[in-house]
Amino acid sequence: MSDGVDPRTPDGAADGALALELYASALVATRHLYRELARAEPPVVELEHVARCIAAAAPNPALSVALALAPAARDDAARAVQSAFIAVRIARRAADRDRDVLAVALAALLVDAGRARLAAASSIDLDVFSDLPDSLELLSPAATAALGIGVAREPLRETAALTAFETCWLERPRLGPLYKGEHPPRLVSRVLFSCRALLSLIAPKSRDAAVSPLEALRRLCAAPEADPTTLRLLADAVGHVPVGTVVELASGEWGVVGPVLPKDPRRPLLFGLVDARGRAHEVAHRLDLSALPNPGIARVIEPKEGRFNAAHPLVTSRPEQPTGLK
Amino acid sequence: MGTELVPGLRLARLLATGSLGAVYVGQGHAAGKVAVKLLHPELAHDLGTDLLRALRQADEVGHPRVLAPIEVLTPDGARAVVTRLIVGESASSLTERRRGRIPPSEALRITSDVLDLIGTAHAHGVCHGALSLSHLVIDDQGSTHLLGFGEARLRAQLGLVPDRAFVAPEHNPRVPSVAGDLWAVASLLFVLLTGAQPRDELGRIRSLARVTDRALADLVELTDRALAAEPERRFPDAGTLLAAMRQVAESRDVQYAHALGSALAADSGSHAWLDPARVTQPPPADVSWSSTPPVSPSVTPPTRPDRPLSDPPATPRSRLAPTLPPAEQASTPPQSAAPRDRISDPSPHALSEALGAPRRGTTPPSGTEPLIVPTPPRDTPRERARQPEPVLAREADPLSGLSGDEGATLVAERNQIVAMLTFDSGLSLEGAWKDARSRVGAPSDAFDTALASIERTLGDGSDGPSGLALELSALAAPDPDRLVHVTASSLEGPALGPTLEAFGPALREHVQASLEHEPHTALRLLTMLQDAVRAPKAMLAAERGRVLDAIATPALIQSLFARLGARVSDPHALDSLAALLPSLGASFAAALGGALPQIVDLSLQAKVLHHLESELTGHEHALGELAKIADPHLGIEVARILARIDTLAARQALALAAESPHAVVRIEALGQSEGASGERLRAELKNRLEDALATERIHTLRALADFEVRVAAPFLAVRLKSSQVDTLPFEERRALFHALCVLSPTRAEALAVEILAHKKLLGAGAHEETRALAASALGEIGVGQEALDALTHHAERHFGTSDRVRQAALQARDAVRARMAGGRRSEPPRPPHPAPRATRPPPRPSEPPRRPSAFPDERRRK
Repeated sequence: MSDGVDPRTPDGAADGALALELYASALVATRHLYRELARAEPPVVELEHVARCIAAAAPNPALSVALALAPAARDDAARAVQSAFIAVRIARRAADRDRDVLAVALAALLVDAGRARLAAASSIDLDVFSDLPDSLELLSPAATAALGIGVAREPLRETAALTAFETCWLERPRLGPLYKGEHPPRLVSRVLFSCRALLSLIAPKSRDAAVSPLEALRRLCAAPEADPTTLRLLADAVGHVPVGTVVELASGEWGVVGPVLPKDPRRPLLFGLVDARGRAHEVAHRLDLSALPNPGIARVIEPKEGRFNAAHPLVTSRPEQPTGLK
Repeated sequence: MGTELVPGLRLARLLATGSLGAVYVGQGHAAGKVAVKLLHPELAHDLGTDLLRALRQADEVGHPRVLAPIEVLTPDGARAVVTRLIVGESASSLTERRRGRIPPSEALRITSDVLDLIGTAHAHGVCHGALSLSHLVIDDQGSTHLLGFGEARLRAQLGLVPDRAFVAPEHNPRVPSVAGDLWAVASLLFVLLTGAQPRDELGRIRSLARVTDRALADLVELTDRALAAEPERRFPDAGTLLAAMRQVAESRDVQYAHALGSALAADSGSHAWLDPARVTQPPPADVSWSSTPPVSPSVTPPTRPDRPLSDPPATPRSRLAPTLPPAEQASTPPQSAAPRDRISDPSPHALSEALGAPRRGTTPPSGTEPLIVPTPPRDTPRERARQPEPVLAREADPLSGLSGDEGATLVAERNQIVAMLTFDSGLSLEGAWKDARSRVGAPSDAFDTALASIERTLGDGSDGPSGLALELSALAAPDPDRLVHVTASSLEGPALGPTLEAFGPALREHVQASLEHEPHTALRLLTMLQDAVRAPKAMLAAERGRVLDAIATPALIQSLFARLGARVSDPHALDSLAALLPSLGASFAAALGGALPQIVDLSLQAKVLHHLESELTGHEHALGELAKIADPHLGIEVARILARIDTLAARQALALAAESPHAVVRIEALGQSEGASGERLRAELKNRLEDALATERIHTLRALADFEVRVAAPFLAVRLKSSQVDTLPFEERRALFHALCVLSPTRAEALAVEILAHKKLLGAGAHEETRALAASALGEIGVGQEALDALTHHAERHFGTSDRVRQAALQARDAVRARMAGGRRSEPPRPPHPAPRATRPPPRPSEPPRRPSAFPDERRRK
């Protein structure tokens, strides 16, 4: 799978507009459901509906645009939706059965559900950059488990609840070894954990500086506890130069890495942002760097360097015939 | 093609009319296309030569964006002022079109432009004095042009009322002032931001914060000071005010609101950009503009009906996917494709009017005229790209088919997000590119280094997706081990309280829902939760009790025990039910009692009864009622539990049990409450044991034995000792011996020895049967030497002993010897506590269960 070609989308078409609309709908729905959750109305059935919609869209490579959209929304519900988008891309590439993809999507939506409920139960108004007190934060996996296990008594939901619990636990190393070391965390949980870790670097909930998707992936890979298997699965889904990374070519052009995976990871497919003279393109065109003799990516544009909407060309793109170079 | 005003200058079309005259597009002038303001004839006469002198003030300012007259024409005594034609939009049109939706940064930019011009004029000793929206033109490059210098004096001369919105409190129409101009500029900012004037209907100056509760604090502070009623409180000069405006414009809040406001302009209602939910949490300094906090649900712009609605699902899947009625769907119009942020339509009245003398009284309220040509709508690819058409298939949309207020709110929120994320920040991008280019030196190898680092970790990918696929497949099946861990984790230690508080209602709802169709599932969940509780041993039952109290209702427990307790074929379920008992507190006692009649498994029933005994307090009456209606077995057990409690409430409950339709229950209850000497008990036993029908009497005896109603033993002994006993049917006598042996073995042994020794000559046949029954009874229960001697005596064929008696004595002697050799007499058969699993047939009130008899049956007798 490292060749970057999605077997389920032979033409490699990435419908950014579709992904955007699904993203926005899922985001609104999940936020709404989290608000219901805060009112002690566990909406797992509805979350499952949202997960079903996301899982159904898993073949669309543009779902990985969630990486580019992440900085614009950093609340718990948004993190859930973004990680679901990435996770189903990974699951879709690996699993044949729809229910497996669905379970992953539901798990992604459930990870912080317990946290949201705990906050509401403790009359804490969680905003984007606030956090739970330590005492409650450490209860999050338990609350997630109670939510998932308590209201889900069928295999799909049990599976999702397990994954959500494990992911939630893995994110809190202070809790110690998962299952007291009796069982290892499952691969699917580790994958979801990696997705969320990537998102937390690209769009931190804290006041930490956001980094580009490429830098985020590099940091994950450089961490001492790096999990090569899950990171490889993640990189295979979002690209070795991940979607949403803004790069500057040697020519001075700026482009943002698109969701269609290139054959050569070092030469991603770009959507042009500005030309060599710094003028914004009226219509973003694709730059297939692999077709250029010397594409030369000069550097990566970090988020702090530009207050602009790099995701614009990605989310307005629709399936189209392969375009030539400009 | 238009009226020729003077030779070579034609009035091509009317642009606008105002209090001073009408403005036309002029063609054929040496300066090209020009704007021609044709004054009303009567005003032209009044103004005379003052007009040109007044308008020449603009020349004194000498700024390219201050519109100065090119010439003043006097065709046929009329007055026409010729100026440059600015292609753009007047501020009045802009405000009207985007009322309250102009982002702060844009409003500040326009106002700063004006202030720059005003400051230049002030530097040249010129005050404007008649600033208004229609004196401002924003060209298609975004630059603001200022008109109307000198008009203040003309207006004062003509007695025309100035635009009230821009008149400072201290305004003197004949003496324009610096302070008045600055107040007017501040008012302009206020109007651009809100679409409303700073004065209320009574002429009082309002704060920006009073017009909208969503204003940015910096803007409120700025406008409050600049619009102060007292000139000394305001900014002293244009430069100071301009600096303050720029400072606000550069604040992160404004920058942020600009991006968001622009994106939302086409979709949101007024003041959307001012929503504090969006702007009070600015992104950190080192992230891009799009680091927006969640869109507040409090802003509910008009719903954009943006998707074709067809073929709604037959049934809603969830609250998030309800179904719209077909009529509602069909009536939903398609999405408009109007471009944003740009003038979409020229002023209708301006363009539709034919050339000709304008009528007075039809002037726009602003009172002056724009010298502009409205910009036609742009249809660039970028503009088109700003309007994402809905592409999501209905069935794949989490919000599909929503209706009602909640649905409208969510759809509007979704549209805002789409607008925000599709916002084209091209200009910001170009700025960022320029900034970056000015800083960046030679290209580095940072990209290659980072990528190499990533690829070193990722390896060759030999076991990636396939490994995941295997694991995902395995996960399709439940994973009980991990599930137990997960659940246990949710209930461990300090997590228990918050977890139950947070999820107790949900868990209860789920258990209840499961109970209806899958009681096993409900039991499994309860059992799992019980097993998951971790606590010190001394606290375990209490902690588990907390879990059950939070999750299970008495009705649920009663239903669970009643439904699963009736399934004798499921020992695992019965065991699980029994395991729940220690955690069920007193509040569940009545529920357990209510379930008892349906519990067929005797072992479980015994355990429940045992549990009830310890948890009965407060629920005696309920159990009395239960004993009253229960079958004999349960009724008697409950009556005995009540007797053991021995409280006033328990005694009252026993009185209820004494009303049972089953005689044995009544006898037991009366015996427990009144003792053996009770009158009601004696009457009850007499009625039952002296019934006219032998079958009824036998039935009662067997029931007394089977249910071990010991209080009846003395009465049975008296009856057996009676001289009339031989007249009773053999079966009744046999039942009488059996019952007494069960209820009082000692009394039965003594009586049997006595009967065995007593010989009769008359009626010997029946009496011999009685003696044989006595011998058999001794064989079952005898342990004393006297009994052994009596049996030995009759077994050795002494005179007067019939064969029947001798045979019975012979068998009984051996049994007694063996018993004596082994020790004391065993207790009469009774169910152990707890009893080994056995099942009870469905209760039949008229026929209590039988126990195998130790006595020779009737066939042997025959």
